[in-house]
Amino acid sequence: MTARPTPLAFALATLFAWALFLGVLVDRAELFIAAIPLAIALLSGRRPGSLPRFDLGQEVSAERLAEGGRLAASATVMAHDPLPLVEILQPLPGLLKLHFGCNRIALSLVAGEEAHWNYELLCPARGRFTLGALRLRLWDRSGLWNAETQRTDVKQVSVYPFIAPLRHVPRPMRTQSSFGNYVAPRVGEGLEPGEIRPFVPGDRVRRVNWRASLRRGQIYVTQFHEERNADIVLLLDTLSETGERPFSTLDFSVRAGAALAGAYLARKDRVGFIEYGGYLRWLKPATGRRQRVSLVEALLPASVYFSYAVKQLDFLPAQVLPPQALVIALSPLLDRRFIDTSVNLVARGFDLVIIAVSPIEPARRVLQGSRLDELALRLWAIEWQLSVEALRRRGLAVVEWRPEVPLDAVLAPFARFRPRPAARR
Amino acid sequence: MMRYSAIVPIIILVGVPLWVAPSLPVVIVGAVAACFCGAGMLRPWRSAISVGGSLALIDYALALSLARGGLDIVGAAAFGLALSFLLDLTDFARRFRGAEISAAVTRSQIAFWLGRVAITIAVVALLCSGAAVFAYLVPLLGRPIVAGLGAAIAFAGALHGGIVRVDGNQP
Repeated sequence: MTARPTPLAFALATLFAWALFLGVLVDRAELFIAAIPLAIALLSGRRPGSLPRFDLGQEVSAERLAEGGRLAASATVMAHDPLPLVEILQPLPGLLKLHFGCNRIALSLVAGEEAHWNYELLCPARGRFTLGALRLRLWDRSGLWNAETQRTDVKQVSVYPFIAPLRHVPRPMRTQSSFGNYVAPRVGEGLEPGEIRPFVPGDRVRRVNWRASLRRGQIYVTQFHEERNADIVLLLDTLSETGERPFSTLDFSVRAGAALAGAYLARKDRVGFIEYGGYLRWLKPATGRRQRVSLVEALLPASVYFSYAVKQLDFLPAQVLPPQALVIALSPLLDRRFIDTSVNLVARGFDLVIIAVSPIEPARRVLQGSRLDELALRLWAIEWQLSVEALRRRGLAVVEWRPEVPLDAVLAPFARFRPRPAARR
Repeated sequence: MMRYSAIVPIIILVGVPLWVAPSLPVVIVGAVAACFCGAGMLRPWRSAISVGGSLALIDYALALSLARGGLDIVGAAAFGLALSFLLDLTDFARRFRGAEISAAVTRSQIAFWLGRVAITIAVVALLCSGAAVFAYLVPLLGRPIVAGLGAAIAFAGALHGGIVRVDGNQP
């Protein structure tokens, strides 16, 4: 605890000196009398002694919540020694906003008294936040001295991205060997009828196609397509970002990634994740509820870290980026390095779909909206559109997504038909 | 709300010099002081209050030098109290601006200020009666020297007592 005189003490001392000086100068006793209240105010200051004993605790209503959720926080102060005037501040992380109440309070407690203090925070953006490093300022009554200290009762709060339900997702071109929801070209055990062929010994009687057999005069059996799952890898571009949180292109990409992960995992697919940026982070493809949680946790801290060194995807283990996987890239397509990596992946034979998050609207939100800004945005939109078209001409499947449009509506055409990739390096 | 109650000390700071000597220079300096104090009250901005307070003191000194009337103890004490309260109120408002202030804090702070007013009145009464006796004892030529010395000692004492004093229990 560090005690120090406040600027009020110096202001009082200055005025006191002025009053005395002017009193001597004009030779009038009134100015000396006027200086008496200032002198008494100065003398009434009491430097805080040793730190008074008190307990300070904080509770939060939830440790996990979704974007846009509200977090109720309550603090309790139990004074063992008198606290004449104590100011408590809970510094808020940048992205959390005060919704109700106040994160700063002034209290006056006698020994043995307890005080409660409630406030509510709005969590508009994803992330991991730390609450609980409470700053305390102990004032003397006169306001001439204060002492500062800190109490830490750390509470971690995770704010998860909003997951929009998706009915349509890009259909993978290749399937894996496990059971799933996609009708595989390979015939075998399944529900989707395929071609018919003449009966051979070993075929099951229940597979006999009686209608075709009667028409042809020979026993035919119906073949069924296998229903298989697929490997999906979400490739998140964290090399560049436009706009302000929680409406930046990266935030929209993360929300899209979380929604896609949920939709594919519901289809029994194995879903993995690669963050491609200043850091290269990944999560091996897997399925199930645990993977869903792991994916959302992995998406949570995604942010742009500037780095000159960008690691190549060639060095990733094959389990992280399986050759048969559908790679869904989430990017605003602003960094040349990510575009080159995408083209490289397609050239290596990966099934790639790029969800291009339009940077125009996020940028518009942070601009003033002047005519010059509008003109610049329109030019940028044309330029961005041209770069998307250039990628399409190279054979890449690019889905343009303006964040104001539901992702489901944008992905619907890709759920039925996908153009064959034919990328040239 | 507490911030706007500083309007009362500002009125006293401008009113007392005008009461002593209602002249144009006093009005002008008083108006400038009121502007600074008003700005300091609204912001709230301590530097403006300090400047406004200093100007109010100059205004009062100017009024006293122009008037050359009898000793006005009540007016002087009111002026000093107003100056002290103006600083206290604006500083309190500035310190806890945007914070939730519990009712106990407001209650105890008002009680503290009222206690200080009582002490001030008692000290003024004591010093004024003591000064009358002192003036009788000290010869006429020695009074300015004694006044100057007294001012310097009082300033040093208040400064030491209010700011630089270190209590025994401090590390």
